Amino acid sequence: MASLSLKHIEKKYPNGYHAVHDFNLEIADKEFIIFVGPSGCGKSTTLRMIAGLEDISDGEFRIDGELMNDREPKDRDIAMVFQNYALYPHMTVYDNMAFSLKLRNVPKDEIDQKVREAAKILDLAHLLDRKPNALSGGQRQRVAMGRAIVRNPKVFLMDEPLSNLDAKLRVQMRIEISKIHKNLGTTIIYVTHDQTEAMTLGTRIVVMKDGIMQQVDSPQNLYDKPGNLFVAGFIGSPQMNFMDAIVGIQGDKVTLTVGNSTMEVPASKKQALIDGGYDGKTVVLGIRPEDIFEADDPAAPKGLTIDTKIKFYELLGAEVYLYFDMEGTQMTARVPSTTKLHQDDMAKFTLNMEKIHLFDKETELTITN
Amino acid sequence: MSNDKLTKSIRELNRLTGLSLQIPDDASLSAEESSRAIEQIQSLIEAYAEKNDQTTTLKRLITGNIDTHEIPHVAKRFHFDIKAPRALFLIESKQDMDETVLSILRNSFPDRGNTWFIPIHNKQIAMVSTYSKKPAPEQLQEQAYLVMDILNAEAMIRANVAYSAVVEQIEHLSDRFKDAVLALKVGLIFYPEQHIYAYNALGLGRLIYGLTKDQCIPYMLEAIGPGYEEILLPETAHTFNCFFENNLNIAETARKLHMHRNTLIYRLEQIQKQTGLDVRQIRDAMTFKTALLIMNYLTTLS
Repeated sequence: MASLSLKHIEKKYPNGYHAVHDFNLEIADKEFIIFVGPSGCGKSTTLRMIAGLEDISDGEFRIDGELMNDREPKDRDIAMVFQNYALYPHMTVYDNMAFSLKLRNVPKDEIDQKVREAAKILDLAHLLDRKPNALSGGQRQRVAMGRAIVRNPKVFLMDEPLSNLDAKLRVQMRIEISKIHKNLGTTIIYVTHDQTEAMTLGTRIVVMKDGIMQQVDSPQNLYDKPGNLFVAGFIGSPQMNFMDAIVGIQGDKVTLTVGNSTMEVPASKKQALIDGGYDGKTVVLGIRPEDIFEADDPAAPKGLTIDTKIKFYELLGAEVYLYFDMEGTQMTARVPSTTKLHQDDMAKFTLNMEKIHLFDKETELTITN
Repeated sequence: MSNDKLTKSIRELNRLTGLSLQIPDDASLSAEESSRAIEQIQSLIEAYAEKNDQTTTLKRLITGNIDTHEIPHVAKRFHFDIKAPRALFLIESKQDMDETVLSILRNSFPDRGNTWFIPIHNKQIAMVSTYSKKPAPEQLQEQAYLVMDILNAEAMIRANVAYSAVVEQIEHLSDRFKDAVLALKVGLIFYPEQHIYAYNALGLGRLIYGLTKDQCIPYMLEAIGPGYEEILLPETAHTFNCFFENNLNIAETARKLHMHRNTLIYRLEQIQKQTGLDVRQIRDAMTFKTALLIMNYLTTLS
């Protein structure tokens, strides 16, 4: 059992660099929590504070109710897996996993039991006599995880553990890590800059930027209901399209004007604009690439139709990304690969207005999703 | 039989230390006397070996405790290549680094002819790596990160790692040790959030480190003005540093900070309003960057 509580956590370095601001999070037992954000957003620093590798400048960090702020890393009952996972090259897989336990004078029988259990979980039992140079990249990464598993920790901390692997292996290892989480039933905190990794692995995701927590939510909610402009842009690939729009409110009718195009806001969205007093103000309109349809697509909803020229065409197999301009803004549409459109073709697109997101231009907070 | 053993021990002592002992021809040693003599010679051999093993010798070499003219001779005796690319990494931890930590490090780099771990004191270990060809700076950086990750994950201790430039001649290792010591000191003051410090990438911190407080304050008053402590706040520093690292490119900085370009421009204009420095111009940006570093240094000094 391991529940973690982080209350008003701050990290300030002596040189004045403020890496983490007022970080608050309650992590339940067996959760798989992801910290995601761009480089320098404070995600690794927060993980390192949890590990005890960085001092906590302010706030309280507890594991199962016990205050951990001043505990040494080895006394926190945690295990870490990092991007660099140097295995002991002259030792077998078995000895690699057993080494830390031997150093702690754990009895031989206990070591053997723990190593074999970990090997079973990681599907390494048939490789225990091999040395690292006889293993594939994925197998080596699993041995690194095995070294953490044998410690039998309350919490696993992983900092970009897949970053050194190639794209194909990363996908395989994502599945492996999910399986390990299921089999071990332990709390995992995982840091990544890769939003695909975050979306596929986490039960909850913490999005960070400039040392500030932006939103904590399930992957689906982050995608469907981003709390602000940053989260909307960061989660999703290709990223959400954004453009400035001027709000017009006349009685019950609410419109958005982008350049020379004016579109009517659907009933489900307009109340937030009326209540927020946005008449005449500029807001940011966001729409995901899959919510833009070719106008002649039978599935296309009724809405604003744009005439434009395809600037770039990217085939990804089952789907195609089409890049075009709308009122001076570069947009991306994700359409099925059956599309007849190609680069330099003239095209008509329809925006699904039910799926638009609106953000306050100044605060960048969501007005309506 | 005992005399044969004694003669062998004397030969061994002579081979290792150059010391000559002789048993007089007319000596007639009892078995007990002979055994005691062998024991004492063995103790001498062990003491000499301990003082003169490769690790101890390297420690004496990097800390400048071997005369330069003696180095080639010592290197030959301990089988160190005189001319080989080497880099020195200095590992420092707040916690004691005992035999367990050394064991983890040595087992992570078991190529004992090429990588040496030399305890300097209980919180500092020097690592000397020898390469077959001159390594690229990125390779040294990767190695430093690897060492830190090993210490964090396996030894579960906090560590900072500083490293020198590559040296081709073994006699220059002591200079590189001094470089790594300096890199660690400067790094911990000016870039404490980084944990890895390359001697060749200390930036302005290297210069400022040599200044006194009395030399710094007049610069701050001249460059920023009397309210410099209120102006150079962490958030301003963060925005500006990102702008500076992105070659004063507004679009790129706004993208990195996930900030609207107008917000960034507003923040840069605030700096101009408060200090008179238009940091979009390289000359003023340099002045502001220097002031930020000096401010960090002054904070550390106080």
